[in-house]
Amino acid sequence: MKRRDFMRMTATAGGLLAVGGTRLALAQQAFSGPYWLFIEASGGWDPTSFCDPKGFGLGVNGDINNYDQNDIGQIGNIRYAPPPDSFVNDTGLFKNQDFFEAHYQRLVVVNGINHGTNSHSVGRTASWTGSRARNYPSLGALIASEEAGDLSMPMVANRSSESSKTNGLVPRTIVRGGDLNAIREIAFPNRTNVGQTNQYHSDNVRGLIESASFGRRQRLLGEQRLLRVQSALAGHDASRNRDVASLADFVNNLNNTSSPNSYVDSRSNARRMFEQAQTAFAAFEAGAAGTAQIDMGGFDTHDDHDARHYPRLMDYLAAVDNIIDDAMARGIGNNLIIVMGSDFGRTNKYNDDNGKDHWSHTSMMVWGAPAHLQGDRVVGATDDLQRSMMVNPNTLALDSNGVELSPEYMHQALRSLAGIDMNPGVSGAFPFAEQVLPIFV
Amino acid sequence: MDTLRITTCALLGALALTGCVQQEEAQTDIPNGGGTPPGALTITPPADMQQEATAAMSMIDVGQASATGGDGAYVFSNDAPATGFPLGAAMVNWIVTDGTGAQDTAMQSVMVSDTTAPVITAPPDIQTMSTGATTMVNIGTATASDLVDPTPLMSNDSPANGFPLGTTGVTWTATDASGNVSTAMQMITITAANPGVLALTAPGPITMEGTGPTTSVLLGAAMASGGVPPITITNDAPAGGFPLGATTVTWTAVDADMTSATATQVVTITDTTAPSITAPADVSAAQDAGGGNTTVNLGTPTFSDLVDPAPAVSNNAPANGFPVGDSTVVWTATDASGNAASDTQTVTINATFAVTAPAAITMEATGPTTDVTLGNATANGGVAPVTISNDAPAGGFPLGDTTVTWTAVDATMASVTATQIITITDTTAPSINAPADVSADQDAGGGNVTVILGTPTFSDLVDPNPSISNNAPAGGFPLGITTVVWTATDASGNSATDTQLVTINAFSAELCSDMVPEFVNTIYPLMDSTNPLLCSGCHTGPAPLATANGWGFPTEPPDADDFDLFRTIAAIDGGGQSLIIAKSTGGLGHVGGDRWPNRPNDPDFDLFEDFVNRAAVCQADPPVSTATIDLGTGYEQLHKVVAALGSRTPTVDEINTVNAANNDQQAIDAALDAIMDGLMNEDAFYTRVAEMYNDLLLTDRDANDRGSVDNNFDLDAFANRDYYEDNFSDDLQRDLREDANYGFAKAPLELVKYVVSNNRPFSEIVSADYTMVNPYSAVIYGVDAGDPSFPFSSDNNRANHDRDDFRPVNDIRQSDSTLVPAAGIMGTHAFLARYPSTNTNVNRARARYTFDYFLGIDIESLASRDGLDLDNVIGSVPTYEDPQCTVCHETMDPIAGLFTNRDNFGEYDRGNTFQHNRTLNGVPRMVPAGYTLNPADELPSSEEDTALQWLGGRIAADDRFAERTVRTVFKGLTGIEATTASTTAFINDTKNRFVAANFDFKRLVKDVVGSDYFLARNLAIGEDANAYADVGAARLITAEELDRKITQVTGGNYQWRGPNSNSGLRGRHYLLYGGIDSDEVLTRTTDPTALIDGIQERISNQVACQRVAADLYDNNGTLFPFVDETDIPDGGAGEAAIRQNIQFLHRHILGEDFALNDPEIDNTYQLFLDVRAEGETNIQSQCRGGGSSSDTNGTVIPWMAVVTYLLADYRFLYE
Repeated sequence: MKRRDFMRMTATAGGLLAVGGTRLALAQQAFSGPYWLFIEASGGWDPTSFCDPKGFGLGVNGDINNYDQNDIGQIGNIRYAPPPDSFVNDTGLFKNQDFFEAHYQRLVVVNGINHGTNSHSVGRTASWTGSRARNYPSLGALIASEEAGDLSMPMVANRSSESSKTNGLVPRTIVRGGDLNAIREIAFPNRTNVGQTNQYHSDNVRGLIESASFGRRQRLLGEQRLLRVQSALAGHDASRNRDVASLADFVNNLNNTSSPNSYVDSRSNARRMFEQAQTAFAAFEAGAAGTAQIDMGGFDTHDDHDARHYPRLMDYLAAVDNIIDDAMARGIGNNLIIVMGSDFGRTNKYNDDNGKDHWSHTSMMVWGAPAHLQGDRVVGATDDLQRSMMVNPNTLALDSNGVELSPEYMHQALRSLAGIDMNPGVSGAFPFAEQVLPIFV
Repeated sequence: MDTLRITTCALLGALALTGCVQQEEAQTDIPNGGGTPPGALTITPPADMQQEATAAMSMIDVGQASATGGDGAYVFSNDAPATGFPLGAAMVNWIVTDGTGAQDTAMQSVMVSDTTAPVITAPPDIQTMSTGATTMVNIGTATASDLVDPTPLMSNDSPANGFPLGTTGVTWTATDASGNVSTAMQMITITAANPGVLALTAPGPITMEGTGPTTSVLLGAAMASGGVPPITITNDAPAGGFPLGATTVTWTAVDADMTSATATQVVTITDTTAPSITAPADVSAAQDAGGGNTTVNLGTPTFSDLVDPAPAVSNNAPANGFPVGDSTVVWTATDASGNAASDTQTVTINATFAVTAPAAITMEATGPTTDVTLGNATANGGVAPVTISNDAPAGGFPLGDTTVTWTAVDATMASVTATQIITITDTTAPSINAPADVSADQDAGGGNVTVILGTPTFSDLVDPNPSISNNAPAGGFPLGITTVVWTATDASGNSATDTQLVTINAFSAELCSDMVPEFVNTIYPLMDSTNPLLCSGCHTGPAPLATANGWGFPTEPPDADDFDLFRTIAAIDGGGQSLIIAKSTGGLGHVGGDRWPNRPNDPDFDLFEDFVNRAAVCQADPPVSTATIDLGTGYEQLHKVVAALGSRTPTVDEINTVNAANNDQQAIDAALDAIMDGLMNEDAFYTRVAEMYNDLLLTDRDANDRGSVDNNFDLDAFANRDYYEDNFSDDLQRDLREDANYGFAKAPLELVKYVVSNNRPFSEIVSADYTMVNPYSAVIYGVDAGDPSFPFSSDNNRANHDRDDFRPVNDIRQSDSTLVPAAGIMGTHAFLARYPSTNTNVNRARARYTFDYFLGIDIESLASRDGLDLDNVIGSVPTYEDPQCTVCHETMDPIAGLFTNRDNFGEYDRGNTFQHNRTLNGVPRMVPAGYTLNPADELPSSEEDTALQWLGGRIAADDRFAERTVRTVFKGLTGIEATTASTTAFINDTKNRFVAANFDFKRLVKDVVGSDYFLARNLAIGEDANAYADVGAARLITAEELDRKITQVTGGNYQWRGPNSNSGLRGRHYLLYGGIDSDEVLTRTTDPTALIDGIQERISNQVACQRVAADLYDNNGTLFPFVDETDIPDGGAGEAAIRQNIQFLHRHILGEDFALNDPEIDNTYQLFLDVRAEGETNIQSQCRGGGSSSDTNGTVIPWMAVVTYLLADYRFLYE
């Protein structure tokens, strides 16, 4: 075989064309929301400790939780777990009751989702993409791609993980720590120094350079016939065409962040998550981003479950509570959808180390204004052994002849909620066979 | 009984009303005397009461209730206790009954309290004689009484250890049950007993070595007994200390009655300590001019003695002077006690006029002859001036020993000589670069293939003609890859080797389409239709002649269709040979007979027969036309390769080398191959390799975390862990801790660098039996290299110990001397701590990452199978029993078991099998440790202490390790995830070569960088782009690469705040550009974001500002070799220079090799003109580069624009 021939024999277009095509066909209409905030509890949370309560006498060993079933609380249609016995007298800790009473009217709890895996990376993939396959993008990336692709940072994330994977649909911008000076320098690249207005090039010269660069990019794109290079050129071109001015607004917004409430401020995990949300909100308000993924870790409690998991969960809910309050105060709360989820659930028993191991059945919670979804609802359930129960696909009533809730069903419904489920770039490129369940009616 | 009484009365009232009324008259009232209707009957009890107790049960008058309303006489009753009230609160229930029998009730509270103290009487006072320091006395018992409490509690405060002399008061206390207290006093008097006779005992005698003319002595204490206190003790010891010899000390005691007693103590001072003496300094002198002995002034010794202020001093110097050479003079000091000491002095008498040669020298050769710095000879004596010379060879020293004779000549022409031996050794191996790898195809018949290997390049410092050999098989090369080892051996026996891979591909027939030209131009004329003697003489025209087997000669000229017909017939069997050969040689009844009568000596027939045989088996064309991947010019390929491996631009030598290839791709390939050898010796390459591997391993997470060492090293195992916490300043402690942590965290990546830079088999990254340590981690690990710079030592100076000085050590021991077995990356603390375990995870995470990083298997992804029924898992240990679980765990758990000797944070804990041997309900938690579940792969018991080493060896031998390595390098350098059939085939082919070359990492890099996947620049017009969708390294370069590139390409650097600050790309812009922190941000951004775009724009503005003016004014500047600030677009020489510099910048910055008349040069030149036309003259102060603030020539601002334009280009940011 000749050296320069060997590659073409079996190469196929694969996904490259789709990637390139999608990128080039970014949505051009202005993005007006709703903004999507995905809040990940990383490590696998325990729904029986909050939105899917069980209690003594249930579970495989009769001790699925360390609290009495009679102590389970309820507000509206939503039942929630009491603190485990070891925390009953801890009056300083945030409580489920605080969270659910404040937010139940805008909250949809989905219990009994079977992620079908006990692998962290696969669980995260399932939770945030809807598929255990590896080639699906996260919902945040998908919505950003379909709705907000031409923003300067369509999707912002706190870290790189399966939960924010983009599969090349849109760039994912990792913003951590929010170094204002650094971002300001980037937002004003022609200024010689932060805080000054002196410029390297006059506006006229800068315009000539821009014009020449634009022409050059078009020529390179026009001449290039290797798809990989073409795709990279297009990506570079797209980044150059993004709205840098929104970055400046983003910086200004970061200058005006809210303070957490005193409780969240005193809990370092909660405070950090609140601060991540501040970055997301600053980007939303600047018109720089459409979706954001933030997270809190530490939920993988294989030992000493109650002592380690419950306070972490309360930190998480306290932070979400504060984030929602802040969104309302900022005036974006009615144009915001929050999705809360985790890798999977935790076992229906305590192990020898008083921990709980991985369990594929879990829950998600979605918060949003009445304009987007109908709150105060619980969809799906688990049985006394914390196993998913079937639901009727039309009524969502428990129905042994119905379907088991899965990440696919969940995401199909979320895509529908986002109004993108029928878009060819979604249904064609990343299809689900499952029908849209009326989870958010 | 009140209640009973009144109730009884009420009953009687019904029977005998009068008597009862009289009896209870005082309690009766008539509420309604008139005609008014009665109100409701209401009782009012007497007021609540509080009363002091008079006894245990106090009799109390509770008073009288009253009532209103009702009808008729009232009868009152209550339930007050007849026996009296106890202490505390009680309730009395009152009832009134009126004449109609109606009743009302009410409650009265009665509180009885006790505030009266008991009465106490103490026992009588006592006086008695002492029995000792304190005296025990029986003091008797007090008595007490109380109104309520029959037995009040009694106590006293008499001292527990007896009473002292004199009178002591004892307080007796009585406390009743209500806590009321009373006290009484008792007096106890102790009188003294009769004292004995006063006596005194002196301390024992003392003998002590003198410490001076007089000696202070601690005498001790004398003890007195008897007598009347107070007793005073004195002695008559001399005030200034004791002299030599015996002195008697008299002790005296006097008591209160002035009675005295004495005792004596003898103190003896000795002197056995010798004086100290230091002889005068050594003395040397020239021999007296007249010869013979020489008198010398010896000087004065220094001496002293503790006791004797003037010891006697003497020496043994010869009375008549010293002879030539060294003499020893003994000086002696003797004190008054006869103690003596001595010291020596050397007296050297130098003979007149001699020369001393420098010391012998042994040196490694630097060439056929070696220059040696001999040092200087010295001469003594002689008559000035003295000249010194030597006979060293002028051209340097040859191998072996050479004697250099030094000669000194004085003014009288007297001469003396001395010799120096120079030894030149040659232990340096030659260098050899094997010829480029070659490949060839097998013949159709198979068998070995003879290949022209080419010629290696080699050199040796000393030997101009080292012998060259190779181990190529004599009978040709077999199918597959054979490694040829080339060896160069110099005359000193030093040798070096390099390898060349020879790939023999299975026979692959030619493409039929490739044979058409040969058919038309060479073969067809042999059958030429114009020659009636040849085939065309008959095989033309209509059937049957012309159409035998359908073949007639074509209308000229012949074409591909004619060849297709020819080869079809050639493939027809003509009795063991092609039908065409059979017929044309007269066989098979060929009417035309034998058309090749001159066989076997007919070269035309040989040609024809060979062609027919080839045509018979040629391969039909693949479905697409000939591919054309545009690799760019030689320079463009070079630029790309140099950027990728060296993060820099090509050197002039490199450019010349590639230019010499003259656009011949094979020659370019060979030139790039040699250039890559050089690039892979540069530091930037190793930095890049380490970055590439950290992208995989993520062990840099802990590199700058000072706390990691504390967190991950057990002080019990490594007692040196906190060595920096003692004896150093706070700042130094902090730095040392950082350095140690750096050494610990960098060990895996340094191992990778070490293996590659030393050309060791890359498999050592998993199997190395050594660990990389720096001078600081070496201290913790207890390493002693016997080198003053390694490990960090007591000089306390960090400047002398480079923290990047990593060395391999294989003797790391814990504090109890346990040897910690090294095991490549997996055995490093850094890896184990980066991937810690837990009691329930039982090393499975480590197994998972081992599979991922070293074998390319992502076990977690295996768990994404649909249809898992995790609700109904089987067994008490599902990972061991349930097929749903065991499918992964059977793979993962044996290897997890091999980590059993490591605790959750990575410490070596030999024999720790606790976690892995646990059972639940009798079921094992884990499968046996091993490489797989197959019993043949179980860990041998002999390897239990070195399980990870054993694992490293297994992984190194596993084909998947090689593939994983190839994929890592391929992705790292091209950005391409190899998933298509063609990339997979490339990976497989490259892997085979990698393994055959004994895991030669540099060769692997060359294979990848030399491939079209990396080099491809474009695709020819008309090609099917989809067929090449996996070709082309379009990789966004990393922040680290970009940072290096800016400096290498422009000479500037990107700063985030101002001059002299840290690089923006290494600092605050690092993560925003898409870098990783190896902790939470684990993958690099591959698609440019608005932030990355903004960073590139700022870089292009800032670096142009920083460098353009500075370079224009500097004749040696990097960016403007063809112009300075005075060259203007004048339509003549100025314009030509500007265009030439633009051409240079496209090459230098972007790697684009354009002709001067290329439209891209025009476009860039137009930008220059357009900006110039703006007429701006003010140059920002930061951008003046030491030049003027005004752009008077109108060139600086346009050039800044051009450089900004180029730095902002796609090709600057992408590989």
